[in-house]
Amino acid sequence: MAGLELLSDQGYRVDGRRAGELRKIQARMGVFAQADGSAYIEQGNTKALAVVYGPHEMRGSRSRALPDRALVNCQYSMATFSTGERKRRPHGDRKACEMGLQLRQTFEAAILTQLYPRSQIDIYVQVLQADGGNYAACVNAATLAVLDAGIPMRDFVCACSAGFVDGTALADLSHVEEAAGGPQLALALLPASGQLALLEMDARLHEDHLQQGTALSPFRDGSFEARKHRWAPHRGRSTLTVAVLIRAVFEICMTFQFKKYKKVYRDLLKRCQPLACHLTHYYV
Amino acid sequence: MLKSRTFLKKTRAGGVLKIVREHYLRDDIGCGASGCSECCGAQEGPALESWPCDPESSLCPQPHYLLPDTNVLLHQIDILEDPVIRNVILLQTVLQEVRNRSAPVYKRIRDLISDLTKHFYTFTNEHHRETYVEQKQGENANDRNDRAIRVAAKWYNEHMKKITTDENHPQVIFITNDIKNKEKAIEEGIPAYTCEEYIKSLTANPELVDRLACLSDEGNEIESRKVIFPEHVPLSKLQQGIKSGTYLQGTFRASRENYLEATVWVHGDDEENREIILQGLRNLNRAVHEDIVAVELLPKSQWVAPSSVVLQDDGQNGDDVEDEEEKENTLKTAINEKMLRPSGRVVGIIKRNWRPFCGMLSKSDIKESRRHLFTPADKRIPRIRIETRQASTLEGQRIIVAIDGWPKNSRYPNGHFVKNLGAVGDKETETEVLLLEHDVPHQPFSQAVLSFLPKMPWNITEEDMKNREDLRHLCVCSVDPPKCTDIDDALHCRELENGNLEVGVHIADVSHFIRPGNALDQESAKRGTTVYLCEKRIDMVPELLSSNLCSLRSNVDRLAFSCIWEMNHNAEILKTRFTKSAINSKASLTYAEAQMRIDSATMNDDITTSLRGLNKLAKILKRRRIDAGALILSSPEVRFHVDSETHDPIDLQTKELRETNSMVEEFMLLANVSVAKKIHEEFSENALLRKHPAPPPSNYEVLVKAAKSKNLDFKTDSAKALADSLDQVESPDFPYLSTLFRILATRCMMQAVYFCSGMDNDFHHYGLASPIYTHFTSPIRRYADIIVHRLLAVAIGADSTYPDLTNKHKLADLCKNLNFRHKMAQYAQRASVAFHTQLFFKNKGIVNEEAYILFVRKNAIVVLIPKYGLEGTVFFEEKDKPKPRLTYDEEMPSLKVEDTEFHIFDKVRVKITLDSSNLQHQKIRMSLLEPQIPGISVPTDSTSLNNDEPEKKRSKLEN
Repeated sequence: MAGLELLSDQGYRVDGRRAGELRKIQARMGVFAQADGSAYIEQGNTKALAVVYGPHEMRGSRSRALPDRALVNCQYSMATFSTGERKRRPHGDRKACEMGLQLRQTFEAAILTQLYPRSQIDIYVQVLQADGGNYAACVNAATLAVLDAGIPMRDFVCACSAGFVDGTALADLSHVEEAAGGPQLALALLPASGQLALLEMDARLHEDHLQQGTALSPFRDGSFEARKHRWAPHRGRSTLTVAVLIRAVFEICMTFQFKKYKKVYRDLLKRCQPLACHLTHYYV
Repeated sequence: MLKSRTFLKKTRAGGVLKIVREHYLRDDIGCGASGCSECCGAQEGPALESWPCDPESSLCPQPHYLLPDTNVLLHQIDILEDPVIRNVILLQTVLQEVRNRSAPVYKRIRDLISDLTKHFYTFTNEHHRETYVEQKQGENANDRNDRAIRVAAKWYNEHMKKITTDENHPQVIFITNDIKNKEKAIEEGIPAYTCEEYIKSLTANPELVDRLACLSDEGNEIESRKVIFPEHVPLSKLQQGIKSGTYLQGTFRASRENYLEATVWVHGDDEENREIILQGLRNLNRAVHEDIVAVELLPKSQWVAPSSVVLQDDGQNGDDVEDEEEKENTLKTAINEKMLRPSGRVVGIIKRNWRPFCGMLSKSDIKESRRHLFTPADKRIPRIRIETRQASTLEGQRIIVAIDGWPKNSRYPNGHFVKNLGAVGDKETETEVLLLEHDVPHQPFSQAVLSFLPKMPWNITEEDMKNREDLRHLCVCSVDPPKCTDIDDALHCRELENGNLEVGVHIADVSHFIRPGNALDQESAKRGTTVYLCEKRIDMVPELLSSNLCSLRSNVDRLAFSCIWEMNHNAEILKTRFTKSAINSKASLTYAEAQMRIDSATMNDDITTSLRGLNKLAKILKRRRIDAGALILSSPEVRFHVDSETHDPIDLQTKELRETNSMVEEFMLLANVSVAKKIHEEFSENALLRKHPAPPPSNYEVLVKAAKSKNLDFKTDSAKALADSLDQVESPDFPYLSTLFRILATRCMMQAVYFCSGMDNDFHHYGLASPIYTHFTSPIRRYADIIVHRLLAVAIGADSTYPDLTNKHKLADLCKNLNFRHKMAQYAQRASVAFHTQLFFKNKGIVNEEAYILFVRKNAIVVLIPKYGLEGTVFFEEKDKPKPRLTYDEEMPSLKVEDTEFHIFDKVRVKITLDSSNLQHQKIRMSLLEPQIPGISVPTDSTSLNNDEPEKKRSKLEN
């Protein structure tokens, strides 16, 4: 038996998307009345729910309070029914802890925490259905929830994942593509300034693919280059497909219809001519 | 538009999973026809011609595109590959099915798609909004796919109507061999034909019909025909059986010498790679060489021993099985219990590994018959029945035939004619055949590949000298065989001021010209090695590089990769240095010339002193290597003197070895070892190395037995012990004995292989007694060396790395290909030598020669003629002659014919003639002259008189 062909010769992926295309995105804000902010997002079959409480006084041990800024407390969980196989997932398992930590890092970079010293902001996210790109969906849901709660941010955070198959970067991986085991990269961005909130990859990838990515990067001459080194200290831990990813992230921004970014996005497109973006019809 | 595909799947643990996958339907997928106004150019890649004019068909005079279904693609790929067939629409559904069912066909189809002149277009119908169909309730996957194909065909036809108002618009013709599917299609208004109907309707190209695969046979053949073979067990049951252990899975290997016998290598996870013996037609059950099969072990009472009988399939067209049974019985002779080995029978085929086979037609006796038997050149492949109308023109030609199937009521598999190569015996045809049979890529280099060659005239530029040392002042020279044009190594040696010696090995810097990833690189990687045939060389890299820019010829500036040692006079390495360099060789010598310079007392120039220094060091190095346990093996090698006009061999000569041969070899070994250490140090995970595994002790049995018969005691537990044992073979009255032992020892060895250091942990090279080894010194003719050059260049900072170089899985795949190519190149070389030996003896007539017995078989002896390095078999049994009394002793081994006993290494005299009674396998036949055995050996005197009529006289001792 031949394995799954992730990218056909005609350039279509398993589910019919092209390499740079995203899945269908739908989002809703304010799904819960009792929370300060809440949001629900669907990226294809990946569905996530985010709830935000705060800023409020420190709960639990007061000693954790920070004198100069608010503490961002993130908790990540997956529903028992979120994957194909039903599985009980206790709170505080390793994967959830790590994901919580990553979310925290991301949002500490985005929320203006110094406005609320000695207080706490809780962000709870739950994945209802996992079909690849869980981190990205959670970040996007949480951003919307934080917006819904009215907590001031530098910029909203937007995230997407990407993978790499046979020399081509694939945006927004589905579960099938993730399971195939190629290198995978997650990126969270503050789109207005082009600053990175989080960039993560857990596989080896050759430096050349990084260069291929950054050569097309819209930030070649700007802030991004400097950050590349900070975020990618090792040869292999880097951004294969930065351009594709960034474009993907901006497309997600577009679907949220924040008009202010339209111009940024247009400029960006002009600069990535080689990859001329093929906008699809499937968005809301 | 978004659709969800939902299906249930059973997990390994037995649970049931519900899997939901997204499935996007698009409206931007084009129909592929160039200039189609409807699809606004939303297509990519090679498109269909907007007005397909050829081929002319009497069934459909309109211009048309073809839309084949899966089975047509799988079985009639030969037809589709014909240049006449163009403008074909391949549906994604069809391609996916092909992909799952046959990897080789899928690969061929992809090649077709990428061929722009063929105008094959892949239509992604599963993601097209109008051609996607959902599986209905109660409909199985196959039916759904058939429906999907029909829907797409219908959409295409309607689409074509839309884009032109012309009455005579192009049609899309659905080609299927499934009658029901065809009927349904016609009901739905789709023009549909079977493949046969369509091909037969091509008025301009009647020759295509021969290439149709005959599949229909099975159904409408006379039902009453006797079933010869047991039914194959279906795949699902096989898998169950393999899991539960009732069946074993393995690779089927037919015996070259006996068509009724085969072995199956059971590939298990554990080390015990077991071998199972299969005997008899029914037990072989239609398996063909290299197929992956499932076998069932027979009860112990039915186990058999490998027979030493040589049997050839020469039955005529008929299907008489009784004959076969009789032959099978001859296999089962009384053998002692120890010899019995696990035996089994094939219950089913897991994967066929059929490829097109070269061979010849054996014309049917019936004149008008269209069915003929085809005899493949490879004796392990059964004969194939084909149907052709051009039998008389194909007779005496080498042709290619593909197998289509093997029904259970047919003695032979059915196949179809693919291609005619040329007349048999013709030197070019024969070369072509042996290249094809050994899968050696030998087409001329494509334009894409040649475009990456440097522009002429070429000079070393400033840019080239970056990271490169200028060594042009050194007195470098090369030593190679005569008429060598691809010189990849050169040497120098000079005394340093501190009294030490500086020795340099300079290797052509091929990786400077072949940059990773481009077409030139890919082509070289595919070829893997240069193949040297007797009169021809199949280059790995284009000639401009191999014989000019990379060849380190004398008195021109060339780029090199140098390995430079500082040594003391005891040949101990004090310092090792690698650098890219530019050199200017002062002389290209042959081995003989170099030897002359070293020996001559009068010459004292720089080159000669350099050579003497090298020679001195080489001797010390060699001594040291042998002391460490390196083996000196021997194999008879011959070189042909070829007539410059006719290219016929006029004389042959065994290769001579001089001191200078071993001098060059010694430094190459040293360079390889040094480089291996360096790259492994730098890239512990992805260095490309070469290892030579120690052979299992059982391999040495023949050698030990042979030694015992000569009253010698051989120790084979280590390379060192073996080397010592071989050294003690000295017999004043039999000087050739030592060589014979070394030849025999060579046969016991394992194959040396390339591997990736991250994928293995045994690096030892047994033959060279080196803990680590690689190939660095011949990048012009071996691709492995190019990779090693790149690794070394990165290690010393002279070049940059690239993704595939540091990917150990890619490297392991590459090693696999290189190992395969090397093996095939070796076989091709041997086949070429064999062919030229035949030509030589054809011209020479009958020759009487001295020979030594190498092996003793049950009904024959294998002899070696030292003068020609030629090996042959002397048979003692003939079909229509009274059988001589043969007593075979397995233990010794010895064979007693009448009253004469033959032992290994006995000296005999044989008569050599060319047997051309079988056109396909012309062979050298040997018959016994001395010792004389009445009725067996041929009389000595009559031979020389009958030079002009060798055919008749010679055939005394056919098997």
